Amino acid sequence: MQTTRMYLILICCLLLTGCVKTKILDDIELIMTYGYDWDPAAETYKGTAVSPLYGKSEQMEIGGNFRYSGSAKTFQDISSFIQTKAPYQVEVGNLIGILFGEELAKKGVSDIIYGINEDPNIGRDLNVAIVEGEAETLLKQDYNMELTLSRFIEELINNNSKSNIPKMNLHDLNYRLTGEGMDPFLPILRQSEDSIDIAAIGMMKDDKLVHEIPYEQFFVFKLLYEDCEDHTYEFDWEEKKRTVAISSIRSTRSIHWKSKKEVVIKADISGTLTESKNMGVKNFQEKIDIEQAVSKKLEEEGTKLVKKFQELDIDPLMIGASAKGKFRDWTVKEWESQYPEIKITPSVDFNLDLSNIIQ
Amino acid sequence: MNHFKPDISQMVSPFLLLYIIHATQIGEGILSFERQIASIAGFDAWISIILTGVLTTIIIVVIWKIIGDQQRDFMDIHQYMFGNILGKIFTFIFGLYLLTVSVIVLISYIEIIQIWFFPDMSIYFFLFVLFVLIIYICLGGFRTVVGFAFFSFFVTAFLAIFKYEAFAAGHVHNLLPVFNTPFKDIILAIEPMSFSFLGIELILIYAPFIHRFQSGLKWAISSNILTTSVYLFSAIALFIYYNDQQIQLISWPTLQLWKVINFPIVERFEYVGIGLHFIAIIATSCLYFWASIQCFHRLTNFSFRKMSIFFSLIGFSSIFFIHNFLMIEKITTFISRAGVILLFAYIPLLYLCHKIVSGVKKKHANN
Repeated sequence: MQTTRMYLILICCLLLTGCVKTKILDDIELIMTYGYDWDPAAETYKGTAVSPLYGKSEQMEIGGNFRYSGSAKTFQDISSFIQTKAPYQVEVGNLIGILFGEELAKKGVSDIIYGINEDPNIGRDLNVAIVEGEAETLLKQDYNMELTLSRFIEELINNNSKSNIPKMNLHDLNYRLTGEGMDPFLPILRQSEDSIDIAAIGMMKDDKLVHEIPYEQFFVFKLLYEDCEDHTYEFDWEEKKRTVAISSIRSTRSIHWKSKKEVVIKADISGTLTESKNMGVKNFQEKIDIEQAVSKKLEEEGTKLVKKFQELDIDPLMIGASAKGKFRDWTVKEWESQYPEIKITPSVDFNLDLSNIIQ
Repeated sequence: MNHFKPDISQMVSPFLLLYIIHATQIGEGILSFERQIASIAGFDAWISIILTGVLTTIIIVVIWKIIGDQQRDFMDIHQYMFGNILGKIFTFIFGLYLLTVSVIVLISYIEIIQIWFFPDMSIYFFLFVLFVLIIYICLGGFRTVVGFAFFSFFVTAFLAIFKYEAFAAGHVHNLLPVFNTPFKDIILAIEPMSFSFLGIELILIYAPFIHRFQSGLKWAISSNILTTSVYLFSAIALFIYYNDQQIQLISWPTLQLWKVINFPIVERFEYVGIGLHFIAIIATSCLYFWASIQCFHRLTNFSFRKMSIFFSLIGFSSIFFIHNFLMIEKITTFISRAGVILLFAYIPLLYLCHKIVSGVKKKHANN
């Protein structure tokens, strides 16, 4: 009896081997960034995949990249087309960035996004961005950087998400694409001489790029969009002909509905005067002066931004979603017809907490 | 009347009901129930969870009343009330239901494994290994089965904590305004929700195995409250994290939520989640399998070992008939209907009949 059992266990162990395909890290092509472009002539998507090249010996410099590209109509087919060019098995499980070419972004990205959503291998905490021009040219350019290209783009977007632009990963994008009363936005990357930088935030209507806001408006947009901290704001005080910098800004944002057609977006900011250029704030009157001037300026900029959004009929600030949570008889149809006429007032309350080390 | 009475070495303490009931209730359903209830009652569906919790607590009390002081099990009650033949038929149908649940839980878990981990894995082989494991646990007796359920309790509680991410990245205004769904829809959502609460009907089978059964009611009820709060927590987490159109597009919302959690050693948490969920699945399936074998064993008096091998072969061969995802879905819906009818119609009816029959019999005995 005892020996029979032993044999049974041995046979089971033999059977347990080799059930599924093995995936050894050295023998797979780990795609980390995908770039997509739209080819209007052939009506197909053009995908460019970047996988890192790790040095085989210590002498080889790290940071190399392999690029493959292929055209097809679906996300999965691009991957299998790329397989025909890659020596190893192509795996997309470690994808950390997805880029869209400008033309594709204007045409609409939802086809590709929904294709990506259906692959169980792909995570949701990955960065999505739009590229000025073509994604392929940006990804195929050789840069002189310490990190691999994929990691560089990831770090670039992640670090800026903490200070300059709101965070937008694949889940957040899906949330805004499917939800009612909201529209997505994505950072726009630009290829500079030998590096990549964030040029603007692209505002989208449903899944199409319709508007871009430049760096100067990042702060106001983030202020009206979410709570933020650790920002720097350059304030042009026209009356006194000075430019001062305010930093370490923490702000809390809240939406107050006055009625169904009137809403106030309130932002309470507190900050430090970091670069006053010998102006100094000596007494309470001066403190109140500068606070009011900053608030007024920010409110003006905010109003301009919101007006633009209403003109374009886009809702990246998710005001519609807030209204849905507020009013019981909210419907998408009614909201969409009303949205351009609603009165949206940004109200900024700025409080100067600290001065700096220079008197 | 001669009741079935297991040996004292097979019995377990009443406080273990807390673990047993929790383990049978939480199975595969916790990964996807949010989508099902939200499709009926929208994001007010969390109210249905509380209502279902209250209803099932009432059912638990009713079960305690049916079993009574003499600690009879389902077979005894059936024979006592419906006579020898009809009682046995009812018990047989109940046993078949339990077997089907135990198999469908395994198969739907294998579906997830296939989609997420190994698309090219042989489903036959994996199911075979699982059934070997289940037979091994069931032949160890009721105490071994309960031991596994004990582990499962901590796994599900541990996994529920990892929905914290939703509160960090979610939008609370999704839940507002409360009570905006018609009350009828909230009531209708109780039906799909009850499927996730199934497992309390097993008390009728293992009641004789609980030492000082009557004192176990408080443990059973606290277990039910615990299950309700786990479901409530995960539903609210997911309703905050997704909007109501998005959640309908996702097969397993919980697994998609875990996709954004990463640690330095684990790129994506859902792989850990699916892996750990294995223990919960095995515990659920084992308890159901054990209960169904116990049913058949009591009906026929064949040896427990032979019965379990025979029925695990039947369970294994079912994979030849259930070979695609639509069938799995269809059978799950059918079984959940059957379970809900069993829970909310058959058991209260049984209680009423039991009251009447025992009243009549008592009267006859007095005459």
